[in-house]
Amino acid sequence: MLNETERHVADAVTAGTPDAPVLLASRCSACGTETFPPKATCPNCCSKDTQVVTLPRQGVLWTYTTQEFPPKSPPYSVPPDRFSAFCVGYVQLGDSVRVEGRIHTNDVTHLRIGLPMELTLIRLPVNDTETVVTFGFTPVEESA
Amino acid sequence: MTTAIVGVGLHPFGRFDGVSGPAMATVAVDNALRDADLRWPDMEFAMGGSLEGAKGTCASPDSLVGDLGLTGLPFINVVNGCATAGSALSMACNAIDAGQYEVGIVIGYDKHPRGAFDPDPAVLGLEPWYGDSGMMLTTQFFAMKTARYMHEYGISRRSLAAVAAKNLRNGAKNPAAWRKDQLTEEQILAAPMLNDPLTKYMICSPGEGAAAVVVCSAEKARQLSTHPIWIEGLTIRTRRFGSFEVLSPSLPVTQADSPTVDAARSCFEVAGVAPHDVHVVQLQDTDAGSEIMHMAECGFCEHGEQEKLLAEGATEISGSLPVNTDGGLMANGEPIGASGLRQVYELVLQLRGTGGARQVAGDPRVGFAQVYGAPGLSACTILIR
Repeated sequence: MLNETERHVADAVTAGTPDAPVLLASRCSACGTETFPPKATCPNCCSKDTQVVTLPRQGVLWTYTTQEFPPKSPPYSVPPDRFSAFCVGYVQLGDSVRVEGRIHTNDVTHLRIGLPMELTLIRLPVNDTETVVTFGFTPVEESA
Repeated sequence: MTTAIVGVGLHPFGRFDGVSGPAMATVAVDNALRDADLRWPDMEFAMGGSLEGAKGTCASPDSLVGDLGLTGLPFINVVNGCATAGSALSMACNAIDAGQYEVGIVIGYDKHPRGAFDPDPAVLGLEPWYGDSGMMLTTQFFAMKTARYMHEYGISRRSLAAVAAKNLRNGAKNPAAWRKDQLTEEQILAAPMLNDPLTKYMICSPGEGAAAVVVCSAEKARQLSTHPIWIEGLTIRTRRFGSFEVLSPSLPVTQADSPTVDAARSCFEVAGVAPHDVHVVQLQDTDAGSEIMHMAECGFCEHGEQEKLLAEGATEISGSLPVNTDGGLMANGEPIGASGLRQVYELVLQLRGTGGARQVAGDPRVGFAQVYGAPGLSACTILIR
């Protein structure tokens, strides 16, 4: 079935290209803390002097879980009749921040804490004509 | 603190089709007043908490006066996430400590829809993409925190099952509990996985129920009761930068203690007792991993020591550190506005020695309760007979 429209839900927090997306974060000029998504106030030192930066595309899996029952929709964009189980995890990007995101993998049993991961865009078909696009992570060994 | 509890009441927890949240609250209030040998007109003030009442999906707490009596008392609605009940009780204690009132009542109830909580991202300060992407589930956090904890401290899946089996076993001894069917560790491990490593029976469900607590000043307590229970500590803390919290799009690499660590430490300081002085404990067991982590976060053991303690049965009713003697959230479900008051209700029964089939032996004198939840807050309470 042809998906006619794509709805990019995370546009405001991503940049880069479809093949090499990056996440936007705020970096505090006073204490160096990086926060995703970008915040006007640093949650660590409360400074208002923050600027938007991009985070590294690659990192390592810090923790993860599976989502094996359908989330209520809304807020999940995918309705229960289109649900399939997925993974979510925190990936440490660089040396300051861990970002939560969908984990896209062909083999859940292969996931482990410490696995190298890379940022990607993932597509979630929500009906016959619409696909939601959000960011996620995939094991580096699986990325093209 | 100088506040006493002289009456406690409960409406059973579970699912009650056709019974409204406020109707359950009325039953809990009647039971608490009867327990205190007082009447509604004796109440100088009331604090009431209900998440659904605040959302408008059922009547709000202050509407209860229509059923309890229009005595003109000040009735304050309290909403503070999963610490709603703890916050209501805390405000009641403060009002009494300040000399504003002599006696009043704290009421909590909820009647949540079936299924997992599905908070609106915007209400918690999150952006729509977070929910669109399928991450607006508190259970994912509990599973991920548990998974990381198991990795760091060598906690086994078997220990998760042991906690769930124990709480269901305790619930079977509690007439007011929702789930009274016992399950073996094997059955719990073999149940459908919801969020790895948590299976169906390792996660509590949103539910229905109500609880009420009559509180009063020290002077009043000596007039009213031969067996008051004293609120010696009640502290609430929110998350600090670096703690690993529910519904967090990112975490700093630099880690900080959880709000439970902060709240428990402060509560013990205020009460002037230490974890080893506590005889009976109620912990937030949103899931089996949470109970294990909260044991250490509250100061009852070292991180990782739980594996050995659980294998020894230390947290059983008959153990050295009885935890969730009424079955906890796993056997009772989580009606948020009532959940923290259920813990207080159970501690009061235990400290009075009226816990029935689930009574902790050895004349328990010091009880501890802890709740934790969205958006990263904890409330701890210490009760002493």
